[in-house]
Amino acid sequence: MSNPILPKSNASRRRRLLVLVILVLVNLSVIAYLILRRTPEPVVAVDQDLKEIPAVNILADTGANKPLATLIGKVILVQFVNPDVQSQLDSVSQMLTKFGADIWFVLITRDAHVLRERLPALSNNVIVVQQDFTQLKRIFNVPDCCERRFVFNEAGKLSYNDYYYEADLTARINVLLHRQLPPLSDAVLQTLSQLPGTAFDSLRQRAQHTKSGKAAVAVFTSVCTSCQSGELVQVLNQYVVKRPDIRFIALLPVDYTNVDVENFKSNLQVKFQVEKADSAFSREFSKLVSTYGQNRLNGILLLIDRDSVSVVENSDEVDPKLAKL
Amino acid sequence: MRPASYNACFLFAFAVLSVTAACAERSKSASTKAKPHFPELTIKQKLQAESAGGSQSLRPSRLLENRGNAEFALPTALTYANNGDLYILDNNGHAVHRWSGGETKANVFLMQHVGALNFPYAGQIANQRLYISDNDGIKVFSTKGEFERLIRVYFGVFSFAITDKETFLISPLIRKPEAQSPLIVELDSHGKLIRGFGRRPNTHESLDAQAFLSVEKNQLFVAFKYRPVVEVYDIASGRLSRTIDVSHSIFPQLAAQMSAGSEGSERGRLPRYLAGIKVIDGRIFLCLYLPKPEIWEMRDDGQRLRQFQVECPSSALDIFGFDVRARGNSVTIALGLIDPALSPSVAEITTNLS
Repeated sequence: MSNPILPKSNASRRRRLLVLVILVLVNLSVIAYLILRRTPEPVVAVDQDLKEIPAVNILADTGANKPLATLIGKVILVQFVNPDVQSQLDSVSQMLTKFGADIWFVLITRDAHVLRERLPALSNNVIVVQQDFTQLKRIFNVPDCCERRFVFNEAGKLSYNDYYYEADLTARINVLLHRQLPPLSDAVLQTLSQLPGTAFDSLRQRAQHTKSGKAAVAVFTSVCTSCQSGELVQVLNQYVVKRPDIRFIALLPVDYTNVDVENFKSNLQVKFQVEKADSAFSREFSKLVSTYGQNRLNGILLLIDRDSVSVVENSDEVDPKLAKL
Repeated sequence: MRPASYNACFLFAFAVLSVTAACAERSKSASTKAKPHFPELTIKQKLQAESAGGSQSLRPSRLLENRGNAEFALPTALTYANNGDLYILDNNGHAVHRWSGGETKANVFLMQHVGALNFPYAGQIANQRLYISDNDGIKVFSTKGEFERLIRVYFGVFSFAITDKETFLISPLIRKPEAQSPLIVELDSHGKLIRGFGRRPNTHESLDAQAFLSVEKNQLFVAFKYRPVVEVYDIASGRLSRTIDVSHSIFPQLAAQMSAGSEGSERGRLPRYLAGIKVIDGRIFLCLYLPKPEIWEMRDDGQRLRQFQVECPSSALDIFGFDVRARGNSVTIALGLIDPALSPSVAEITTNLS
């Protein structure tokens, strides 16, 4: 009887050896995968008080993998965007139009496809990120409910963050870009000088013909008792009594109706004159708002003393400057 | 053992090691997650757990969960229509969602570009119209969602109610209130001030003047967010007719423990007591600001008839809305909740009148 076992045993050993080699290779591959798998994950400690751009990698929807830190050198606007919220999309569009390629935009969203559909033709300085959305929210300390925006300066330090409460970030980004904007008061005065025949010009001329030649004109884009604008109305009401030599005037937006003006007078118990701005003034004032921001322009106080006009930009300056007028 | 068995063992051991490593990694990652610190919630949870209880617990009959059957950004109020539709105001989303009776999902009813909503904050339905206060004033929409008009009121609106004479009663937010600033202002249907009434405390950064309002017949019920008190005013005269103290067993300890805390701002130290009020057919429904929200049903003289807790999926860090709708002998209650992960949800509870 022939013994077929010996040659079969050799073949079997070779097969076993081959299987073993394959399994070792598979294991090594698995180990390599598990090690490499870790690197692109944006795992960093969560900092409740984020102070600088986090050291994380982001994977753009284009497939490009980039550490956020490589964007340092330009101003970086990181926006968590809900593509279903029109105001958030508008905010992105507005910033893209104003700042073009000057800054990096990192738009983090849970649906990059919908975002790109609603914001077509995004330029190369806009990075759209969907990958690791939840983890990125955690890293930036953004709660489940809402979206936030973060502005980092050229050195990667956090300059500003909010929940989209401030409609317009233009003024803040202008400062970071070191854009050589004239001081606000100069810009306002220059605008006024180019507006002969408008509501403000008429007010100035009327003030010049009063005995003291003094007037204080508050220009509003909106007024509310829970805002600084409402507080300014209270201050001016007090000054009407204290300084009868000064003519106090509030200038409301051109699109306010007569009922709006009447409500303003009655609800805030306004003791001074109220007028509506005309179209030309409103148009130029809107340009200033879009450059310097609504926060700095709403409730700006213009002091007229005969031929001269000065600007009170800050609420802290209202008392001392009115006292000096 | 055969080599294949060795390898199987090796693979098994390796798999165990991998899983362990992955778990360790996950655990490490989780450990880096900063735990949000909500002192008020922690104190209230402890006190509520220690309290004798005795309240009945009711489970929601319907639930809206964010990223589930609703898409909220940051809701701040809700209100029922007569037909049972629930309208939820999404402040950061500049939208209004409608949750119709029988529907499992809420749908966006108004978006910013339709009615130019600008951070909607409070809402009411009256006279077949939806009234929404936002940063521009009070906006009026038809129940089909058509924008009708903007009423510029110039008052920051914490909450408001509409009388049968179509006047607005408002709990105003005033940045720097004066001694004569009223607790409540009444405006005509065009938004012009008619009068102010009620004594405004003007302490604690004016927080303790913030109140939820409900009108029934000729009475205005004022439930204070930061005071365990309901004031009842005669609308015709504007006079305070009575005060109802809301004496929950944990409230005295809550105030003491919160004021003892050294951290946080004034806002952080002042406990929130009441989260909403609705008066229907002489019954007051009051929502207490607790991690397990508690609802009291009272007679309009303040006598408590019944109290129950709402079984929510997680503790309520915030209660953003409360409304009640009666139908025959049963009532449906809607509660807007924010959990400690700041995720919003809306719970609806149906129960019989006591």
